Amino acid sequence: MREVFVVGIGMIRFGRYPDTWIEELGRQVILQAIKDAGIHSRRLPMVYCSHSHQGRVAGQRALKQAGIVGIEIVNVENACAGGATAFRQAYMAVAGGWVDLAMAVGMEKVAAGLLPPNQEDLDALQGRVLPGHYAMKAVRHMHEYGTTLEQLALVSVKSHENGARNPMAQYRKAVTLEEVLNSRMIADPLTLLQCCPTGDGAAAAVLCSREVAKALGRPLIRVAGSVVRGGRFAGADHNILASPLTREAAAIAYETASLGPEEVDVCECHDAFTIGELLHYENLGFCPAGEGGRMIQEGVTAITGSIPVNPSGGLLSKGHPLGATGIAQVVEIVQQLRGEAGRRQVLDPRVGLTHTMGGAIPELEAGACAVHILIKE
Amino acid sequence: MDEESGVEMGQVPVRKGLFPWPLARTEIPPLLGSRCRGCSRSFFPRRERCPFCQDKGRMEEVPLSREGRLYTYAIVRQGPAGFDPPYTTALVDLPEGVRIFARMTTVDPRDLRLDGPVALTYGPIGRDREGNVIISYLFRPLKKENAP
Repeated sequence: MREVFVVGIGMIRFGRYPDTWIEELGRQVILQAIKDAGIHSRRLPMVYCSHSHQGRVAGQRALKQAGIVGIEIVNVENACAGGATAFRQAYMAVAGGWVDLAMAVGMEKVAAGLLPPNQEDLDALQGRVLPGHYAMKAVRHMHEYGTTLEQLALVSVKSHENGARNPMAQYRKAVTLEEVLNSRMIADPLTLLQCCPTGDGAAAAVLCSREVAKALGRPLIRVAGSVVRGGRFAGADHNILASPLTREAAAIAYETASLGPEEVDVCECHDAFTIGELLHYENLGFCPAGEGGRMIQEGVTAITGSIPVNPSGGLLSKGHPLGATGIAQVVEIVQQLRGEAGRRQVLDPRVGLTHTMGGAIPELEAGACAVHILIKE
Repeated sequence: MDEESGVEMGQVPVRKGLFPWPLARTEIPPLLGSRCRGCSRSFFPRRERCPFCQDKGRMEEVPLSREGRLYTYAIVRQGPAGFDPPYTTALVDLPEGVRIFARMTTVDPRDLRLDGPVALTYGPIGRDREGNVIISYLFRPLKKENAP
């Protein structure tokens, strides 16, 4: 397999674009990423485009607006992990030697109105909602480890503080611990400010071989680990706090990158709800099981801490346009590794990690989990 | 709720095949699961193929235990159309090793004790688009063990 590098990134601010077509949101980030890579759009042979609710061949529609037609374009759906999955597909295309350049695009506009539940989804038919899904993890974590309401809320305080420094974030306003705790209860113990918003957005990344990256003269950001896994059956012996799915994906990513969690300098993880981030600290190996609450309280994961997590503001503050999220995480890590993250810059990072979970499925732990490790050479 | 759980006009099961329908008025029928003869793992809902052995044709239908343990729960304050929050969703572990997502009969956290015993019952969980009452399996907390 060949080495693969990220040489171009593009992203629009996440938020609401009621008057803008999805094709236009996609066009903007596609052209940004091409410009950032310093290539001509004619050189691009392959694009993977992630989205969950944009209809048929949305990738082709967006690329058409950018004037890019006639190449291999594949649309990807993996719920919240779709963007990371598209990134992995582009990675594999270059690593496998099929192409020297490939692009991953993620784009999403909020679906109009509530989508009816999938009839196979027995849990949804009985009222499972995602805040409740995560609240059940929070209740168990508090029971087993004594994690407090304040520790959960501190995740949101940190995320909003970081989001306030990110021009691409949907929410750019810091919030206090009291504001988080006193916001409307959605699913006990998760309040409104502990749940990520819905929104529109798009992000793109250009990947290429070492030869192309060298010729382009861009900073060398190598994809050192790339994993996508589907969830397994989760019976009564399944520990919902220990996420075997995240642990398995992370273990493979660390192994292929020849490093461990202690060497990660910056992380973007799937903080759709505050409890999620605490669990990911534990399951990505940043702390032992049960110590997520302590980590956030001690500031270890703040931008100035020893392992900054979600300096972008994360899903909680930057926003979560499903199909775009995984690629936006890569955009943040690339900016951090390049030293281009402005007021949210982590001190001199070399290794960055992204992590996304996608989709709730009855009986399974989750639909998908993706982990990527990027290293600055 | 148990004694009222016989079928009436305008009632539909959340899905056919999960439990006997129509429900009897006088008893709580068990949920219907599958057990793999190869690896002894049990599943709910029933399935034809064991995802562990992936060895088709070796599953048998089994009635599942009516009592289990409350693994965790959430009190949902904001729900989708057709539901009437607040309501409690839970993960209940049955002795067969099956973990079941189901609604609880209570939204009072004082009645919800993690790892505490819970028992199967049936009742309404919401309404479908035609206005029918959706009937599903629920769990209710049992009194504390060893209570004085």
